[in-house]
Amino acid sequence: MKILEVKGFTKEFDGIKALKEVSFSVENGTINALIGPNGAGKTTVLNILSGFLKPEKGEAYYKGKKITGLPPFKISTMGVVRTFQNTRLFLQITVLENVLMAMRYRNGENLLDVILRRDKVLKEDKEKINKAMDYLSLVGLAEKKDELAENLSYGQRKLLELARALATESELFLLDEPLAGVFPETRKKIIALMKKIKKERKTIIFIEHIVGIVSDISDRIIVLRHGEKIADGKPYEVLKDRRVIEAYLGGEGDT
Amino acid sequence: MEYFIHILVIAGIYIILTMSLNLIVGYTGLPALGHAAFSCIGAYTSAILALRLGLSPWIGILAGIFLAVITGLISSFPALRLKGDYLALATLGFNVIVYGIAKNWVSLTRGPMGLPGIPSFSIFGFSITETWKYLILVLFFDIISFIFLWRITSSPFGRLLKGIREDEKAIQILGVNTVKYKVVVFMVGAGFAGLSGVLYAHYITFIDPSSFTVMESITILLMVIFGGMANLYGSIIGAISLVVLPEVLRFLGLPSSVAAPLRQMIYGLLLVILMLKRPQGILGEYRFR
Amino acid sequence: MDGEKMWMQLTLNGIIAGSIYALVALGFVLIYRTVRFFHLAHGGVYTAGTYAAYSTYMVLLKAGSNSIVLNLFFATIVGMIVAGILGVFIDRIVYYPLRKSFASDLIHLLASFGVFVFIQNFIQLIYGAQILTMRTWPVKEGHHILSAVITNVQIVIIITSIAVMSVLWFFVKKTKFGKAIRAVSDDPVGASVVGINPEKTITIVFFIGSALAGLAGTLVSLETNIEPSMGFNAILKGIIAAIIGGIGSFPGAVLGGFLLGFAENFGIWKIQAGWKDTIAFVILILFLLFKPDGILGTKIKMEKD
Repeated sequence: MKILEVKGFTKEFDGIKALKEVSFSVENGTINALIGPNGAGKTTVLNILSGFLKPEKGEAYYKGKKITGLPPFKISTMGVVRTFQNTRLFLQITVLENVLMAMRYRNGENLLDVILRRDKVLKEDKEKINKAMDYLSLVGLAEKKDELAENLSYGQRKLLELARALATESELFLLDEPLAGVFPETRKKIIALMKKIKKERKTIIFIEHIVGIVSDISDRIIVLRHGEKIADGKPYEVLKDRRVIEAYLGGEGDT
Repeated sequence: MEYFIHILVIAGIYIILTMSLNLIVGYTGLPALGHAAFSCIGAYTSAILALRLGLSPWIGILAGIFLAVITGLISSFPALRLKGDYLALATLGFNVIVYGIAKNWVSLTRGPMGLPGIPSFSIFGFSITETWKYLILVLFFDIISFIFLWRITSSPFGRLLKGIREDEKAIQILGVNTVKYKVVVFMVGAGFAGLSGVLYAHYITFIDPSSFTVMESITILLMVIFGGMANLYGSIIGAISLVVLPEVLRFLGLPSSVAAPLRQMIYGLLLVILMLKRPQGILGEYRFR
Repeated sequence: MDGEKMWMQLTLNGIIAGSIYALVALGFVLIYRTVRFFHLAHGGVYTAGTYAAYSTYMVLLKAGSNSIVLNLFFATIVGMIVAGILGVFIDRIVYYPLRKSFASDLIHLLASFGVFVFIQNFIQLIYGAQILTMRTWPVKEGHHILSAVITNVQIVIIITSIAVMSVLWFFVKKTKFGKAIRAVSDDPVGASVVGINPEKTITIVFFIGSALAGLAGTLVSLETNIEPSMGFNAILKGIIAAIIGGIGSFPGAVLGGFLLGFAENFGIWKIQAGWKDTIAFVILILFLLFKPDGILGTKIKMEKD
């Protein structure tokens, strides 16, 4: 089943065309890499998909429903979550609280319940905390639960952001460079988590520069360059493609 | 002694103002600089209902809070589109507008002449005119307000507010409708400010627009900042400190022509020092940068 | 007053008020473009400059100098210099440390408010809260121009304002300093790379901008009374004018100032005078919500996310 269909994304910034008619579709339960040199438009695609930008032209359909033009929170409640290149955590609160932020409460977020039925709220909070601890254990951050997020190392922050994303119980994960700048050990953890997500029949679209890793774990690779899609297919096909090689070795971007 | 109790009553009224403003500014991170506007609405609503229609102040409380909440709803709209100092400016402007209405709609509010002779509260037929009795009334409302606001801030709801403050974009990703929470927070904050306005009106028995200026709003904000952002206990400390402090000047025997500007100068200086040295205040839980 | 006379008079009054607002707005925008936050203490500088001018004028009068024009001239100069120095002082003592620690605009704004409250009340402490006046000359009948009446004083106000604004325009557009100011306001890092000292430029900007405020207040006191709270209204009007016209641009500040002056004067023709301020703020909020860049403004607030 196609969980996501992108049709003709076109986006302009101050006269510069960041995206030109980019289209692709994504199958449920797959890991898809979105690669390309710097400035290719990859993050712009994620920004549009998560609702922070509106394309000049083009639409995206998530599970058949149009999501372009919807506010970010709405898209999120439909089952889409994204992470950021430089992690956007809530730095001045604890690791545990960061994960709890991702979990939507039935009672705890209802004003009347909070004021009048505090017992129900506390009970629900206990459940959610247990669940949050599960997610933290999954990424190996359970001992750091009371640590302020700002005290974590970069690698730990990336893991925390991933735990938080998992806690949303979304079906489509948009990951912006989940592996960038982390030590090999953390990298292994993150890749393992990504495979686990796929095992649970959820879908990942991730942006990455490191081509080697990309070919290992991706089911499909989409390549962008200067805002256009230049390749789209299975890893070994795409990486043999002359245009793709040219894009990376032609003096721009990094491998 | 009587005077001392009077000061406590005033402090008690300010406590509700500071705690409610802290909800908006400290917990949710919205720079709302016009809080006095809401207590203005509460005060005038209750006063006019009592003076014109002879309604009991208890009805006045309900009406005052209700109208203040509506005003809070209206004033939340800028918060949905503006940020930082632009939002601060808009809330400040809103305060001036409400003040302007109080000052110029003379047929309703008697403008600068104010509304004298506002009746005080009565319970079971007993009028609450002695200061110490009023103190008990105010403390009663202080406790209710504290419980209400504490339950909000120490719940998942409150946690979300902090998330909005820390990173609005990030929390939207997690499925939170920040618009809804901002509006609710303004309405709740405004409602409590309206309550304190009502308490003020029926205590002093006279109100005029000059109690609800931008300066007044900044004073309340100063109390919040001083006591500690996102800390209800801090707001209590802030309110008490900055209500009691100027009274010390009085004890020094300074004439009011000196004491009045001197008090404001101290407020101004305190605000500057706080911004330079410790913007999060005494008990502030987060680094307000 | 028949219709046409009324229109002419209102237009004239609009120009007078507008030129004052434009001066305040111009100084404010000059500073805003350079440091990127709302320097509310500008109102305090306005007041301080005016009181300095007042004191100078009174001292000169007492000392026996009888030429009103000369006294006023010196008083104005002193007022502008005092205002300018005060502005620089505020920047160095309060804003500079905040800049160094990368404090947010909001913190700058709040600190600025604290400074403003301090200055206004300091002045009240020294001079008292009563209304003062600098108008020691006899009231003369005004001249009749095109069915409106304009006094000598009002002529002076308009001419001075326009002259000063023209000089400033020349300064910003044509001189090296002016270019430096624009460079620092567009890109402080880039400016320092090409050898412009941003801090020095900021200091100059604060001096000039504050001097403008001092001038505006002094000119106003030729027509109306002086009191410690005069700066509050002035700065708020200045901000409104700047936002209406476009906070990123100097012509915007001037345009906004005149528009506000006209709007107020034509507005109160039908509505009571007391509502003037309220209307001005409604306009402010409408602009903030729907057209924050103002009429002429360019987006100078960078994407903050």
